[in-house]
Amino acid sequence: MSTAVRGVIASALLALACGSSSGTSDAGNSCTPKVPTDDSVPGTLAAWCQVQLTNGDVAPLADDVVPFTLTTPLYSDGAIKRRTVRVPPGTSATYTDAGVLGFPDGTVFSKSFGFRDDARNTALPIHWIETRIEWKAAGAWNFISYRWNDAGTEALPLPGGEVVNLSYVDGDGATQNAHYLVPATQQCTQCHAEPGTIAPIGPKTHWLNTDYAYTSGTENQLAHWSRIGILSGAPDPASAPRLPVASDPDAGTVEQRARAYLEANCGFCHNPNGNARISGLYLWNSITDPTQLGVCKRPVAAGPGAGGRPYDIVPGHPENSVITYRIEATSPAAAMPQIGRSVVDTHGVALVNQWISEMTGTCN
Amino acid sequence: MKHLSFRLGSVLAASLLAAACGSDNNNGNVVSITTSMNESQISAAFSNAAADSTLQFAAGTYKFTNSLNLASKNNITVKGAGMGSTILDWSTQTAGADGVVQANTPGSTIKATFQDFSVQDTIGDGLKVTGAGSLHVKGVGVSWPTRATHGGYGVYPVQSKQVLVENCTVDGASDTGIYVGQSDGIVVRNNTLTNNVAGIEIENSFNADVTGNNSHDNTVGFLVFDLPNLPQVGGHNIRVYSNMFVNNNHANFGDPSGTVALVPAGTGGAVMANSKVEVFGNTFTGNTSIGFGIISCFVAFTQQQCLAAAAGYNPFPNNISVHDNTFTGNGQNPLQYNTSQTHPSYMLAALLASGFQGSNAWKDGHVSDVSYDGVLGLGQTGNANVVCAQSNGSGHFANMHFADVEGGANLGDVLTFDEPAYSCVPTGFPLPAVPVPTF
Repeated sequence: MSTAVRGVIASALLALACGSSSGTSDAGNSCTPKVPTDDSVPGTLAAWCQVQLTNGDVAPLADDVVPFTLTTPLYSDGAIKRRTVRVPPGTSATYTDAGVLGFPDGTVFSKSFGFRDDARNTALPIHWIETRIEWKAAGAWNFISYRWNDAGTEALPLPGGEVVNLSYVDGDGATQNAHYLVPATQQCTQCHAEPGTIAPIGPKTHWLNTDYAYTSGTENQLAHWSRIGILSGAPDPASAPRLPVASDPDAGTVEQRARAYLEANCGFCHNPNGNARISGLYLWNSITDPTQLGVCKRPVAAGPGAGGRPYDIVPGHPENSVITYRIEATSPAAAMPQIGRSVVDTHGVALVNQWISEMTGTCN
Repeated sequence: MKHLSFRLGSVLAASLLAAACGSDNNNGNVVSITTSMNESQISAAFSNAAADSTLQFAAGTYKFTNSLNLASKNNITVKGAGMGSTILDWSTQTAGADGVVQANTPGSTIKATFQDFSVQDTIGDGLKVTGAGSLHVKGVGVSWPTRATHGGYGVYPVQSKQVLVENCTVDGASDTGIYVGQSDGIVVRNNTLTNNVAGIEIENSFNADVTGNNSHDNTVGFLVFDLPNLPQVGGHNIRVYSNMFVNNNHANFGDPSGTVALVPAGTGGAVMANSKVEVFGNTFTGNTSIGFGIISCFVAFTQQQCLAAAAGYNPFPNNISVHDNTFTGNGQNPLQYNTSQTHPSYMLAALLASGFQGSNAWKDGHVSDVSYDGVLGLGQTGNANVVCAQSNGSGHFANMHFADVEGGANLGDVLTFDEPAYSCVPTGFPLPAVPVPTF
């Protein structure tokens, strides 16, 4: 029996078992988004009516599904990402300077992950691996990943996750062999626990405060969200916080960009309430205590993950710093983040190393 | 072949059903896991486990490439058919740092039970639970039979409350077999720890009883440490009693950056910083470097790190009582199993060895069984119940006067064996028992 046939059987069973929250495998090009009011998982991605693959790329399925981007995203083995948000009609998110915007019940985020065989050639098709859905119901956020079939015609829930071994050529022409992780549902919460509760990570003002090329024209995302009524209380973007594009040398100083990179790639766990709170190493952009940032801080329960290096950061010496060791590592025994990265982000590593190299002082 | 395909299809569909309909799917609150399920199906069962449910593994070997993350829902039990019967095998792990993981948010009241299975060959820790409100680990075995580089911790509860770890075995952890960190209300009893760097460690924790354990052939039998710059500091009220700490002479293979890397092979046990620690009724035998050591933060960390630590951190041991233990055959040759001069553990081994020569050398041909670094806090002028040692049979007590050694003196010239000054019972001792968590 083919995988596709099995999938159809599974979908049919799901439809029977889960009632109205499941859907058909062919939602067409127009539909009305439906959002579970609890943690039940619709049986296909299409049933959500949030996004579909059109001409090989992710496209919103409804007019009020809004694509967005972040100034500095999490590195995920070099995956191409597409993000959307949709709040229920007539509702809006509430603005805040710090932390995640206040999204209402019924909010749905989608985030799709894919790869080109050669990242340098944008004419090549993107192989979409998964679309993750995060939705808020009864005040709580829920997660599920939908795994795309090879043909890109259907995506089905994969609550147990999967390690997808794949190979591609990156933007520098280097071949990368990734153990790409489609996370199990419970693994989502390993990172999505930043404020001490389960929540989105990216949709904060300082990451959203940048332009996006909408079909209607380029516009600042905060301004756009305010204009279409899905965000309330936001100031003029010029007076709202913004963290730089870490990869853009013109976007800020080395320190500003390295700190933005560390918050985006480490801060979701390394903060006073996150999953790595036990380490006492906090990498939010707002942290000012040098020890909390890792300067001359001994690793604690890193075991072999510290690579024999004496401190998280040794000023002037990335080659002696645990942080460098861990972001350069690819074995899950030492790699940071702990999940979701099996390929080295060479540009990110170079930025962090430059920041450490330019630090002055000694550790004794 | 057709028949087989149909069966596989049914399994897949059933698993998707279980997964897709959320958390109300655990009929009878028992989810059966068998070797016919693939990794993703088992992981889905862990992700979707409902409150008050049991994930019941049948006997057999289960191979995983990714960590197995358990839902953060109350009162889930993960149960196998027995240690050695249900084997969770990560020898081909490519994702996730650890084996079985439960990550709870700060201050959670989540209760969890893990029992009767073995974890093998994880690339990182075996079983790691963060932030449980109540945790029972019973009859879990962790080892690394085929992996060349072993993971750090075997059983690793951290920032948890009401922790009971019993009847477990951990063999070969490259840091610590059973490591309880930043927790409160801990009982670690009747476990067997072998070939780890540290057998048992209670770190930055409050209210712990460590008893009935057999910790042998590790680098060090047990540690009670309090480290600076962690969210929870000020370890206190720790009892270590009626344990066996025997032949802990394994060469220290800890990562050189780790705190345990400083401990010489051949150490029965040690306390660093902490207050109100009672060590009694234990048997320390055949540990070639030292039976039991009492040290301050300054032995492991820089002065700046020890003194500038967050409020609540006391770098000095205080109210440490060691009494009624049996010491035999410890401390004869600190360098015997510390042969790598480049490993951090060599430093203290060499220091202990240097005490055999001098005007006040170790007595009776061995490092004293209860040896104290003698580093006093500001304002402390004498012992005043900082350290007490009584009724340890033939086990000598020594003050090593590390402040003088740091100043250039030879250890063997400054050792003092002033046992009467340290024969005392600190106020508030004996310490109360820690209530055994109930489940």
